[in-house]
Amino acid sequence: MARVEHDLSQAELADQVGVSRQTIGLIELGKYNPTLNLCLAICHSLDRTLDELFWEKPE
Amino acid sequence: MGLFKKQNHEDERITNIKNKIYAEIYILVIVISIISIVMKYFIYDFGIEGTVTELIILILGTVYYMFRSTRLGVVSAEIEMHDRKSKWSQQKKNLFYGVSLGIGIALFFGINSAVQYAEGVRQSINYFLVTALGSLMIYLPFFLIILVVGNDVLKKKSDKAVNQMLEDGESGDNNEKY
Repeated sequence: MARVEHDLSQAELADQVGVSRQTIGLIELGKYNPTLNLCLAICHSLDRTLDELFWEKPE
Repeated sequence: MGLFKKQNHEDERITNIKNKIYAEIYILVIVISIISIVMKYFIYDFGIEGTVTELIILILGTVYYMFRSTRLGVVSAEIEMHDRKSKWSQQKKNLFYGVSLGIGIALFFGINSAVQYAEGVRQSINYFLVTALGSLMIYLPFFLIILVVGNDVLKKKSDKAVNQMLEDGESGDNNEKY
């Protein structure tokens, strides 16, 4: 997982992107759909592209 | 032809705008209710009985928000976000508000009693002290219980709701590294 590779806890990533820890947790579980702005903030924090973090192949 | 085929996704832009409008409507309802209470109570002299409907709207709205935000874990998230940005934690602020409200109301009742019912300086001071201290003994614990203990209870319930949401998956980390 990209967050773990960056040695970040959910709380630390949440702090960096300006959301609560619960929001990060729910995004990781696929229970919350973040806005594009939040996706980009997470990508910038983890130095990854949108594709790498959020792309899912269509069923 | 697929003309009447159900769409899988709603237009989220429209949903977001509608939600924003609903939030504005709620603020409008609160403002109208407060204006109505002020006018009925102070201008038309209806007494507190005449403002029951507005009070019910305000109280039920607040209770519903508290209930839903606790069940959905929003209270914990809000406190976390607040404590991250603010110098004073939410709990310290609640303590400060509780004490301020208790002292403020006690002073108001004390002054009101001294001005309305007392004759002479000595009696005014006596009335002020008795009423203010009596009110302080009632309202200080009341506001402290409502604001500090109440908020703590809501936060605990909200934490529980969030943990339950996060427990369902594999990567809930309870604020630890992994």
